[in-house]
Amino acid sequence: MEWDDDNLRRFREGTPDVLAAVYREHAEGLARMLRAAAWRGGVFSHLKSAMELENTLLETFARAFEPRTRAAYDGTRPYGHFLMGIARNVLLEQTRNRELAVGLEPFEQKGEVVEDGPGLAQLLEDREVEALVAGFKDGLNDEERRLFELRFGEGLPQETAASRMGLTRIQVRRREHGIKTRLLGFLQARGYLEGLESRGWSFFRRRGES
Amino acid sequence: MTECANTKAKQDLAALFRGELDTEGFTRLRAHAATCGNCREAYDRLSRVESSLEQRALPENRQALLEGELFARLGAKAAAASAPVRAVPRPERVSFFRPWMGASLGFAVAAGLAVLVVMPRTTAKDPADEWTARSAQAGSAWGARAFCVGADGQVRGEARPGGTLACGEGDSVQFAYTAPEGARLTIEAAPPSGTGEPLRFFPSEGTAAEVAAGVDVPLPYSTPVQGGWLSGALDVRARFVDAEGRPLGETRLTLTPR
Repeated sequence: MEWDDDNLRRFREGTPDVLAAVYREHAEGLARMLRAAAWRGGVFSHLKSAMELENTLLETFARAFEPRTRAAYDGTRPYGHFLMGIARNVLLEQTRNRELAVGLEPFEQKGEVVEDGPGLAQLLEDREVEALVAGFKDGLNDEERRLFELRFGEGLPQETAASRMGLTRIQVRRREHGIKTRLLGFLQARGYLEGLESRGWSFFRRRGES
Repeated sequence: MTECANTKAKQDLAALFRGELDTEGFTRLRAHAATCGNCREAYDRLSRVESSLEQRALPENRQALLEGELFARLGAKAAAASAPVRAVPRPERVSFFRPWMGASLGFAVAAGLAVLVVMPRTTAKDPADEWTARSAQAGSAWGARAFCVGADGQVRGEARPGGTLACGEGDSVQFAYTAPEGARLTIEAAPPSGTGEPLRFFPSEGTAAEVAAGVDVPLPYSTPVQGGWLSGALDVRARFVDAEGRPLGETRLTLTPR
């Protein structure tokens, strides 16, 4: 989004569609920065949990969208940097609340080192998930693999993927639903989601599906 | 770790991964997972899979759901801030911070976005119109409206309950519902040939999906008119039922090709 006078004025006024556009433009970038901070370990290691990361992201945007904070943004500085300044404060407050000493700056660009122990375990789990997903993909038929590639590899919206494949969006949605359901079953069968299984729980299976 | 016995939470986890969970369900799931180690672990693991699939730190579906949660939070704050000085909130504020903000799961759909932008203007015109009859049944507040949105994002037409909406190839059909309380909703049309599978607009699959109370809440995605599915008049029915499946309201409208 371009920070022209009109957008800046509407942002400061709290116009919802402008706030939504700002959120959509910066949410992924902020999440990446928080994830990077998590990899540095120490007091930010709690951000390795998706829920903790999402909570921090929510709190950051909630503060960024408060009237006083909106008024403080000048439209000149990169908004991403402005947002990260707020995120840093949120993290430091969280740190204080956890009664832990602050020893790291969360958003340094250099010198990010994956720690041993829990950090290494997370890295290994990521690799495990990637290998499982790749294994699942190998078992798809040609059409499914193409859909998988378009939707998840290239990140195309359903409409575009449907157009590329000569399908309707509803057909794409149904096929994608089937693929995701089978993927969950696949992961479960290989133990990744083993701890979730419970008798009588139709978590990953739907009626009529094998 | 003790296994969680909350079946609803487990269903919500699966629905989250399949992209079928609404903002209300997402908030409920997160509240539960915050106190349940088993479900929090599942939540994190599913997030890891989604991130791996999409190569994103924040999977798109979760980003959209968090947007709903964020705006609900901002709306609550704004309402609390305005309460002491204003007994009756301004209509604009009422419409902007309704649950439709949370219903923007399909915001990647440009046409859906256009409706999100347009809807507040149409609903804010007459605040007294809220909770009035919007269905074909006199005196019932349950109802659904349909909009035809062009590829350029402009709304080309609207059909109220009992009305007819003409929409052309390349446009999209977007529905919005009004429900005075939380309910389960299906919107589908009988197959044009009279036999075969009904054309389902909402939810994409399965039984009726939960929807939150709200006025003119756009559904999270629109349906592109392409591939010839809209080649003749379609009798579309929006049915609201309660948790036990008892009917609460029904709206009918007609879709025709333009």
